[in-house]
Amino acid sequence: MDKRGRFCFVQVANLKNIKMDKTEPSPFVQVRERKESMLGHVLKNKLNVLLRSKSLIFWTLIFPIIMSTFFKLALSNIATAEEFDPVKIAVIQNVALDNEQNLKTVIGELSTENENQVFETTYIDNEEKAKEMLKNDDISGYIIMDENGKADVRVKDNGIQQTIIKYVIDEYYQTASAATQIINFNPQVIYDGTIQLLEESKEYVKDKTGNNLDYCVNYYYTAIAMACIYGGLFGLEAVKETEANLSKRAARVSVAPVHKLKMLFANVTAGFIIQYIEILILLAYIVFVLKGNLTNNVPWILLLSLAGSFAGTTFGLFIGISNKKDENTKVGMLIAITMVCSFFAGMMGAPQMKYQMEKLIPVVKYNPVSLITDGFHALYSYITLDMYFEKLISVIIFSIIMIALSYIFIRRKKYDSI
Amino acid sequence: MEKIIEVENLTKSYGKFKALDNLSLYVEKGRIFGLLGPNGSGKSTTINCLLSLLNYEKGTIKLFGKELTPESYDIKAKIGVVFQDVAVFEELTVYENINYFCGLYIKDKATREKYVEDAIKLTGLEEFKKFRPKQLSGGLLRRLNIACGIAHKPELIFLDEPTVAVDPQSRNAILEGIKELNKNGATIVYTTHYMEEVEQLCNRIVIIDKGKMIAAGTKEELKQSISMGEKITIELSENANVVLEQVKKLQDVIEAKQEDNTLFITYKKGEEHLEKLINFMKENSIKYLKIFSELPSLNDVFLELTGKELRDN
Repeated sequence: MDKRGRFCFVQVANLKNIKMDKTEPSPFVQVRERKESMLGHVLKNKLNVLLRSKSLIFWTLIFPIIMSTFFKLALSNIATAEEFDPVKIAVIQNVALDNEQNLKTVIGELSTENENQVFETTYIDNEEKAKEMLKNDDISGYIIMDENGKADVRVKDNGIQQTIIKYVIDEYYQTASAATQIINFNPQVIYDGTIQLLEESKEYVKDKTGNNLDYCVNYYYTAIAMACIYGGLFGLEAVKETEANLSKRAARVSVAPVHKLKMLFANVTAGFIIQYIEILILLAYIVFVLKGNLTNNVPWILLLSLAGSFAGTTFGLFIGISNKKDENTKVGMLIAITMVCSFFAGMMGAPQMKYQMEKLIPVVKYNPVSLITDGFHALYSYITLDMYFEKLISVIIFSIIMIALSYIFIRRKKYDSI
Repeated sequence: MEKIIEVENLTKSYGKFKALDNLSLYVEKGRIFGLLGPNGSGKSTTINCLLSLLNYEKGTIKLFGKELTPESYDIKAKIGVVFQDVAVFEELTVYENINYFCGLYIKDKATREKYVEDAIKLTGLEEFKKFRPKQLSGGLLRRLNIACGIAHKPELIFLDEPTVAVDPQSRNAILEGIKELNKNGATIVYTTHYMEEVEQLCNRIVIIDKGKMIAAGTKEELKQSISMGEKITIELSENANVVLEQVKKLQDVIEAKQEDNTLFITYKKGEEHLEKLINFMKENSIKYLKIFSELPSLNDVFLELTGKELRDN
């Protein structure tokens, strides 16, 4: 037995043969203790395990790379083909329109013949003529002021051009409303220059609808966001190592003298590190191999990717801890939820589909994939970083909520069955 | 002798099914304690309750004189567990797996390295250090599972059916390893439904069925506790003429039956009957090829106590 009460298999040294000469140091003092922290030990091991886990690496890295490549191959032609015919519209000239000078100006500017032209506008004085043009496909839609003095868009079909018309009008009213509220609240802002918001919005509208839009970029953003949330698989993996009802390894760990939360923390940290490295690889692949023009704001992209990876890992943590389903069911849940979120974030359809979805079901805007995607979009589309930070903070809040909920569930220490 | 484990009236249910029913037992320091019972008798549930992994409705459990809670790190440091299912990382090699689990107990790297090597040596995995689990046979995998559970040299080791689906060579290696661990000072709690293993290994045995303890003691005590004393099997020659009814009437015979040319006779406990039986055969000119006698096994104990075979379940 050694000093700690442990028995020894192998006789290390024959003490009778050791001459205890005081001039020479004891052979034992030459053995330096190399202590390793528990956290470091678990972290190092977990990194080792995760890096060798083929299925995890597939879902969290290879799959998003395949998706991005697929988007590049499938959409690069569309992007070229749709560069860019202005949308043909008609605007009904009447008194109500004359009263909406700002809208008139916006439409006028967007119809100006230059490289940023969005609309090719015909001004007419009666709706019947507009209907006739629409019927003959001479225009994609027309704008008419309704009885409340508000612009209404009439279209025959649904498609990208029709969506652009609707988008411009909606965006105009949203921005105008925001500006009015700001002015009503504090008229001083006009003099402070805050009203420049309107001007910036004009840029935004041009960019959103205009010829700068690279179709692939939308999908790249969603692919990155999806990859971030797929990091949930790392969170699930961490839970699997600590919840005894999920794996026998966790049962073995549960009977070891290790604090459960420390164990979980080390496992989550390992997952998060690998997840973020994978996101960096994916970003590099998109930028250098697929030549995706993600924007020049690299530090902000990296920051949002970091927050996104954390959100993904904590999301997986929550899914893993919050229910009693078996591991396969949890993995299925996570993948399914991520795919649905990615759908709502714009992966499965043209950008206008995402836009229409969000109009129809506003809550889908707050799904983590959408938040991250919109954060990237904000970098691409807005001049200021306000919208970017709004999305970044939302992603961080999402992560905090996931951690808090997970903490509540993890306080259970024993199981009814394992 | 110091009791390392004390269990009183442990009751645990899964829904309406009572897995453990007022189970009480104790394990003395330095012993190999066998928990014997058929599949589904509550052996693993008992182990999981002892390890504080499962909730239970009633009863008290003390390990090293204290109740084990999730925060009892001092007690946990003295325990090693080998679960019935193999619990290792598929992605790590044999060495890395053992090193990882040992590292949850031993912080000093040099000590750990030595302990890991010791565990590899004890389980006979020297040639497989760099193998991944999926490259190992079932028996070697079980040995790895054991190495991961005992590498930190615990004082108390729980082994939950460690030889299930293991080839005879690996089984022998595992059993020898367990004896070695015990010889080096570890107390062993060994669950199995293989009576031969319990007979071979354990100093004290508890037999459970349907969550209840049906007998406890040394293997000799258990065998003494039943009415059966001796089993004699006679392989008859082809033209042997036996009157089974006569055999049944012999002194102390509990049961006699014939299957083809083999005669099975079960005697009550008491004096040895072999000589008398041979005389009887001679007197009645019954020709036989072989005759042998054996003492009751733990299976016989289980059979007499429950009316069923250990392995029927």
